[in-house]
Amino acid sequence: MVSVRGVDRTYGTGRAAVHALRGVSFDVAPGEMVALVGRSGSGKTTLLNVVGGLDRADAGTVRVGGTEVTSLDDAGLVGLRRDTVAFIFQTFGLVPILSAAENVGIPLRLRSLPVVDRERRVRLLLDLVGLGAHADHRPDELSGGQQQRVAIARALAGSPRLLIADEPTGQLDSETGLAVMALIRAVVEAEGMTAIVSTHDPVMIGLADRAIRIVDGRLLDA
Amino acid sequence: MSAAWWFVVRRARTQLAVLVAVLVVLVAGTTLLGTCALLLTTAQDDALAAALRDAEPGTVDVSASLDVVGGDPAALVAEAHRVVDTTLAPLGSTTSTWLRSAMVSVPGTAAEPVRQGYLESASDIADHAHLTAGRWPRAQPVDGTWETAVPELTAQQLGLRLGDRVELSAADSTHGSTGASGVSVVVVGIVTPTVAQADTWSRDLLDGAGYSPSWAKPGSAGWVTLPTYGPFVVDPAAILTGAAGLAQVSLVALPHLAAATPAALDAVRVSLSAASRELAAAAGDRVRTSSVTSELTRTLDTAGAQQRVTRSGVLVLALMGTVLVAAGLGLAGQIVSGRRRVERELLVARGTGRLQRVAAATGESLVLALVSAGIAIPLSVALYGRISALPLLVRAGVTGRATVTSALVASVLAGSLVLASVLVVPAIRSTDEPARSRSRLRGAVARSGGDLVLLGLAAVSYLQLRDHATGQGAGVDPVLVAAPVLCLVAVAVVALRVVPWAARAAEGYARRSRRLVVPLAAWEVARRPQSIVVGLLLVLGTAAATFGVSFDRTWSVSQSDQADARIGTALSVDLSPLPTLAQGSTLAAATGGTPAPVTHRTIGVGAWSDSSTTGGTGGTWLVGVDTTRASTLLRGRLPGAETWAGLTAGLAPAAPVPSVPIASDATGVQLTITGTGTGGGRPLRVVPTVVVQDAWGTRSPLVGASVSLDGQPHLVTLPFPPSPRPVAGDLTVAGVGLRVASDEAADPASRVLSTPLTVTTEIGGGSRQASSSGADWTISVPITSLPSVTGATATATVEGGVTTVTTEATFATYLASVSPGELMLTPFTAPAEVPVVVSEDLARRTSSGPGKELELTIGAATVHARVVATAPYVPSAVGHPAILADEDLLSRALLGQLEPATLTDAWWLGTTDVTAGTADRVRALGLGEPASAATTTDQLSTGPLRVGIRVALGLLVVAAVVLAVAGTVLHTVASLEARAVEVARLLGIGIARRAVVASLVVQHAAVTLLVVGAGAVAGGVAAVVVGPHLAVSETGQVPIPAPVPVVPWAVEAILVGGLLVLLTAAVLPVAQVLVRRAGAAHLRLDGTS
Repeated sequence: MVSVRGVDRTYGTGRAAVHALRGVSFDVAPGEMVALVGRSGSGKTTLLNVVGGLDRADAGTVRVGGTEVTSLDDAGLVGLRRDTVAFIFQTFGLVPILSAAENVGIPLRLRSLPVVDRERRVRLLLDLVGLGAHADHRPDELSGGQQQRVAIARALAGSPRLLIADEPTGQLDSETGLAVMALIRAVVEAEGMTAIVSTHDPVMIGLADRAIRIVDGRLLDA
Repeated sequence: MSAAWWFVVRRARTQLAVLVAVLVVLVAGTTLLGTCALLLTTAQDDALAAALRDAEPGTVDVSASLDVVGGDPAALVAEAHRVVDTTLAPLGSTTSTWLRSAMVSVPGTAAEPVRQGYLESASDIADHAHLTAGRWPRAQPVDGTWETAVPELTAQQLGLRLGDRVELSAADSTHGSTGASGVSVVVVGIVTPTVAQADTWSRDLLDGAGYSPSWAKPGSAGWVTLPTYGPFVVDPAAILTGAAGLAQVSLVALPHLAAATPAALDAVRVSLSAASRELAAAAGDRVRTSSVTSELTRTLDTAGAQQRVTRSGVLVLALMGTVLVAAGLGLAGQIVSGRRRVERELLVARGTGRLQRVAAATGESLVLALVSAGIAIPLSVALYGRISALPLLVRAGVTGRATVTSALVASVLAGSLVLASVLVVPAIRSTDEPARSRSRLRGAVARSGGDLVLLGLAAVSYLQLRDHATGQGAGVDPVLVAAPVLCLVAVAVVALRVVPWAARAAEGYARRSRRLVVPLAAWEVARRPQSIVVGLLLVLGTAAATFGVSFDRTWSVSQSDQADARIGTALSVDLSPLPTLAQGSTLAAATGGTPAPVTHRTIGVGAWSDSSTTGGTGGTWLVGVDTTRASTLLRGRLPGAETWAGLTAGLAPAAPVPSVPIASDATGVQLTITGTGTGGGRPLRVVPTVVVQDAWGTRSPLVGASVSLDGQPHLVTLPFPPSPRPVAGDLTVAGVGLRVASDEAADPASRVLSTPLTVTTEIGGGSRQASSSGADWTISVPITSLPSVTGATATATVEGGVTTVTTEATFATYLASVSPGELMLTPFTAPAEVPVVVSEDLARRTSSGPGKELELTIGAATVHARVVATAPYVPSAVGHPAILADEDLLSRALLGQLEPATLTDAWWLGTTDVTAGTADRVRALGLGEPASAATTTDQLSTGPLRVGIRVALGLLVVAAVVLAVAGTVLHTVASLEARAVEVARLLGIGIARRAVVASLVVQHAAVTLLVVGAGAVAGGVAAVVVGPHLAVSETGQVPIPAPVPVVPWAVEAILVGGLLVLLTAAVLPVAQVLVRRAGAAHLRLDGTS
């Protein structure tokens, strides 16, 4: 599903240059849930952004579902994020002025789904993440765990083939984090999608099919 | 450097961009204040100087007049000069000196055995008369004979030619002077008076006419009149040496006002108040009366009132600008505060107290204020320099001295400090944000309370403004200044509160849509509360701009309405006292129009008289015009659909006066009078007066020489006054007056009580056909309890172009001394009453209305009038009780009352007769100074003392637009930077950058539309409600007619549309840049949703 080969990413130039990724290569099989493990600043987010088309690699190739991400133009990347890849951010990434249902409906609006179909699917997804009763609540009226569950529902709304979660439990307490991680695990299995989840929590790592470790922009074992 | 300053400086270096933005707003605001300060001070001084420089001489000159009875003439004149020069010493002056001798006897003839004349010298005679033959008199007599120049009519009547010598002997009563012994003069010049300044010749005894058939003999108290000729223009020495005796001294000093300073004007104002007393003291018993008169004080008072009104207006607009700038700075302060939120929380967490934060913020504000003032002062000077180069100001003569003044420095410094203090407010506020909902509720309640207080204040100030008569006192009117600003701010705040309600409608659309971009914008509009301050700035900015545009139009239209009402017609020429017979033809030839003679004078009305007003502008004004031409002749807005034509319908007579034509090549009117009647053993004498009517309808009397009623036919020629144009043509006779006199003193023994009187008058002989038949003629006699003429009848025949009117009556000679033996023959029946329209002011004061009768005292005659309608005012008589009548009918009524004097005081040209350059052509005729509605509109709208308001309005509109755009950009940059994470999230979800930009722009455009729309409505409401009360007259009074709000929809649409486009366009590049910058990195920065 995902094939990364020799990816480099450097921020800045000259003496101020920071080599975020150096020759990173790995593969993720379809339906696999991979934990990307590393300390802060090790390059986890950069790698996920490059894979998901939020950032561009300086060198190397990234293929997602047969599409070479590194050769896509801006429109291609937008299409990739809209149709193939879904992100779950550490900071949840919800639009603060929209209710839970409206946040979840964004990907469906991008596809211009009929209103009735959109609302039915939104209800379904919110029920799936256990927030059917909070559909009209705005993010600031929800707890961190609830917000992240809304983010998961939104990520699933577009039926992505690849789910990328960047420290999804980073701002949650351990109990809530575990629940969220379990939800992601369940959803991945239920929807048959591929997932790459960055984390440094050993409990979370235990829920993944396998773990990839990254240190200073290099993978230790892929 | 203390730690606090080190911190402030380091922070300023890192936040340079935002501080520069704050500084820009501050500089813009203080520059606006500085420029307004220059408009209020330097421009006003220049305006006063320009206004005085352009003032009519009659409104600023100083006249000293002495009625001399004795003493050394030269010394007396020198004393008068000293008083006038001293009075005007602070300004300097140019003085014109007119001296008139006592009456002297002019050699008589058989027809006029006794006649009188007078010498006159005028230092500026060459400016007021032109030589038609010969030259001006020299200073020295030759062989005891003084050289003289005489008016054309004098020469014509006396048969004088160049080189003729005239012996002017002392009159038998040289009342008014002593030591006169007569003088011998030789005619060296023939002159024609000109009328460059209408009142110049009023200094002459005969108003420059050159001849009067019956002028009071000095010492006779008016009972004895003599044919009078003059002036015999001579060198002053001829009068001062006492040969003819000095009777009158008239000095007219024109002050030098071009460089007048306020201090010099104040000094002159004080001197003028004491000048009459000083002159009287200096002249002592050498004069019977003396006076110093001047309109200068009134002119200065009027100018002062205009300045106060203009200052108030400019202050209103400056205050509005200041409120706008304060809102802009509030926004800037909010942005700075937002940028420093984290830093402030950190400082608070580390124990920094509020006082320390305020001290640091105050220091920073102080520096910003000083830097701003340092930039704004030269900027203000530069901007004022540019403004004063605008054609509007150049035309007004306010050319401006763009210099740094103390007023400028003080206002900019004070403005900078006050405005910069707005930046301190965030530091005072608590940084705590607990109990958000509670504070929101508290804030909402506080805002509602604040709104209510503001609305209450605005309502009270509006009521004050509505009932307020301004222009009083010496200072600027606080009500006029504060009320409009309060009203505008209140309306803007209310409009701002309405915006969120309107925005909610967007939610419904967003919910129903299947797409994202526009709904996302709609959600933003509906749910993200916009910054109150930027909303207020935009609403206020738009409101101020739309108010400025509408008020400018309301104000301008009001000035135009006032000018129309004040002048009364398109172009008016107030006549000099000179004869009017050829003026209609002259005006028609020069303008190509149809001039209308107009009566325009003060009269008495019934038993009521306005004792509260004195002088030429007081009393009740009578305006007589050709009401059949009211639609084109009369100007001035009436309420509703009323028109002057409708209001004056029915005032005009049903038919024109039947014509009794005069030969088109005649040089005068010739009468053949044959009559019989005796008194005192001698034949009675009759003095004929012919009332001549020209093609334009003006009627002028010509007085003939006295004729003996001895049964013999006497040919009497009544010459037309000299005129550059032939006066004959379409002249007709509108009446013949006969004044019968007996000389009982000749033989008291032959006294009789009464005598039959028969007078036959033959008129005309012209080639034109008379439309009058004999049956038209009627006779009028004085209505008195003791009539000297009774049983008067008139019969007339018309044959071969000659109209012969025979009058028979009985003349009671014993009553001649109390009731003049006067008769008036007219080819029409005089109306018993004259229908009139009266001003509401007069109707109120006289408790009259439609159907009521009034008695109009015009000269010595009384005319019965009936009110047919009332009008808010009468054109050309604004602000006074006034009566509007048809001039023709009025003239007929007066002739029926034996009053032959002309009613024509002015000529009017209607709307269809006046084009560009008409005023110049009329002015070149020298008939008098023309006043046009267009010129008056210019003076009221863009005159030197008025133009400041227009400039300030323009500044306000520009400042409002600039501040709105600057505020929008500032706010957009700040809010989009704050939303960078959110933008990154949207990009991460899969929304294209272009779609995000589109959403932001649509969102901004929608908000802008709502806010600008609300501002436009607020500005429009303020302009409609408050504008008319601000459009005061030039002296600060309620204008007449009352102003009506005018909204120039097209201009407003362009302004609002342009503002929308500008504000939206300003956001597009900002959104593009910020969305381009938003990336994955932002997703890791935010810790909250």
